[in-house]
Amino acid sequence: MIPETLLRVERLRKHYPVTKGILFTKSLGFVRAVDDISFTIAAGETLGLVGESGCGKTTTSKLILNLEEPTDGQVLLQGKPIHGLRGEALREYRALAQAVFQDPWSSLNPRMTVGRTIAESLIVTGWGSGEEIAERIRELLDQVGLRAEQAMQYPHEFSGGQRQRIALAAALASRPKLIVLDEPVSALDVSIRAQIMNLLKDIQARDNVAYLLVAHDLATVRHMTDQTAVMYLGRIVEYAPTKLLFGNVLHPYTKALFSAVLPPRPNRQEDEIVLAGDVPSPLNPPGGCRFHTRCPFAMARCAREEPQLHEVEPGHLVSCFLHEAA
Amino acid sequence: MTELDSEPVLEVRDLHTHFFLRRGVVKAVDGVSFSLHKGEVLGLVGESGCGKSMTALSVMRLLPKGSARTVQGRVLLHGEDILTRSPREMREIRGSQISMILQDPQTSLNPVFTVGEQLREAIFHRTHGRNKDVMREAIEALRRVDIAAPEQRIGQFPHQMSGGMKQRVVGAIVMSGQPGVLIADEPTTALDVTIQLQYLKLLQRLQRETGMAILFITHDFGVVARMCDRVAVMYAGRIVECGTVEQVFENPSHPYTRALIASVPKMTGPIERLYTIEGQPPSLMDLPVGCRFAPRCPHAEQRCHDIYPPAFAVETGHDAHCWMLEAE
Repeated sequence: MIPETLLRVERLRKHYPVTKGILFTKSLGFVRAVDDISFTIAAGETLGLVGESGCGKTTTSKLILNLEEPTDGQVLLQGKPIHGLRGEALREYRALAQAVFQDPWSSLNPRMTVGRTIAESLIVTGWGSGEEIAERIRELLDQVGLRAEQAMQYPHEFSGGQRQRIALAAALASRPKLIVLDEPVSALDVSIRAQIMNLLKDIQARDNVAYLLVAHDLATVRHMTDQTAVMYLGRIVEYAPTKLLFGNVLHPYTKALFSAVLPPRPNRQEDEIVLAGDVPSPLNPPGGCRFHTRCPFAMARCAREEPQLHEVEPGHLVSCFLHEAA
Repeated sequence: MTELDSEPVLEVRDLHTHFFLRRGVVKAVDGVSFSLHKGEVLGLVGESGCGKSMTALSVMRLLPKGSARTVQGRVLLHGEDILTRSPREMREIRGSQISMILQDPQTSLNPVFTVGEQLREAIFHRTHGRNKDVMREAIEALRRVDIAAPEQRIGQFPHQMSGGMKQRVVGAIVMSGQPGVLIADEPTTALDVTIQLQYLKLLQRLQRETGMAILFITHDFGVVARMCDRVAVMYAGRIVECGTVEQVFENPSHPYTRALIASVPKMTGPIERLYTIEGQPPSLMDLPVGCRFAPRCPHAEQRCHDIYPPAFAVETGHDAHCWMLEAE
């Protein structure tokens, strides 16, 4: 059985204007943070969005959370466009799509008790009576492995891992269908990361919630996701089921990312692909393939034409001329 | 590679650094000993709050003013105890004999001076040379850390550079003092993965060229596997296991080391439920009398809660503080 498509992102673009001066503003161009990307997430599945800083993964998650208006393209949740929603329809959307962010120190209000933070989203969505909300908070804290009486405590009384559990409880409160997880474990200690990753998987298995996991750590992505999309300078360069991708990496940028994963055991093999230089500015991305300035396999054609995503094997999409003939 | 027979360039003996707060005494570093030999890279691994950064700051004598004090122990740099040196003498030692790279290059560079001014200051401090010579050496130093077009870059301010480039400038400043010992405290944690690999390779090359010794502080076992010759694992203010990288990875002998290695997701093999360590590290204000890991350890017995285990040798050069290793 093919699981139903929950989220569909179609040719999404977000360009930020860059201007100079205050009174007589002069346009300097656009930062193409997200430039024509498409993907889908099925109900109960996890899509991993991988890439380095500035590649557009956070902008993508903001667009999906309806915190930004796209320049072009659309995002559909259960077949309905999410941008342009107002009033009750927008509130309904907010209940369906929630988020957990990287830093558990800044994502919780220090002046609210944990119970109040969780209740907030229930009150906004008109969840039920005070009694019902209190019951739901107890249930949620139990689900994320905290004790019911901890609802009366303040965020500073908790450790980083516990705070991330609280953020997750707050996200789960309105029974969402989709949770955007923006680097949910990278601020945590190694021994705590495993606890949170196991918890996320347990919740998904029970509630059939879909995740969009924004991450830079490939081992985490391999462990958590069903599909993986690799982004570079606002574009998806490779997109495939995680199992397929990790077994057969095709795009040179993805290869470089994989090669930069440090070994789990000591070895001193020197066949690493070390990329020269930094990621170019998205203000004036290079013409042709955006990766050609750093690509060890670049050809003359790569500077002239921009490769498009195409299917190399069933479900495995790559945008690179090297794999065009296949 | 490692010259274990040679005299250590840096030797830390029974170091205790405590924070004296109104609420009590925080024993951040509580009896740490290790030695670092010429040309060696020693990894100091552990989670936040285990005392690895405080160990480094104690060695550099750069502890936060006021509450923190090194109350016991010796730090021997080339055989001489630097804990007894005056602040003035320490200023001469820092930079020329022992240097440090911090996690965030943004905070180690001064935003109101160009990188050239900051680099030239460091070079001038050592050579007292003429302006022209200092400038030439500064450009050369930037080229050595793989900065393209150093003649242009030298006049730029830190905010005009990317994170990886700023960290390379910090590397150039540090190397300009020609220190024999370098302490690198999570130097790549703030960098992207491909930039992290670039930087690690650069550090490795500089280390081989100069033969300096590096104390590499990190929480990432991948970095240790890639960079280090030996590794020391810290937990709650103490080193619990120490050995060569091969020994510790092939045969982790302290339950904490084993758990840390097992809880990291892998790039190969079947996807299984991750191993987790239950609970939290103990409060450094109220440490258990026995083994500090005992409250979280699946193998703990009564003795573990009562008496702190001494170091037991697993092999030559590899030992761990765990009662399970006794009489084996």
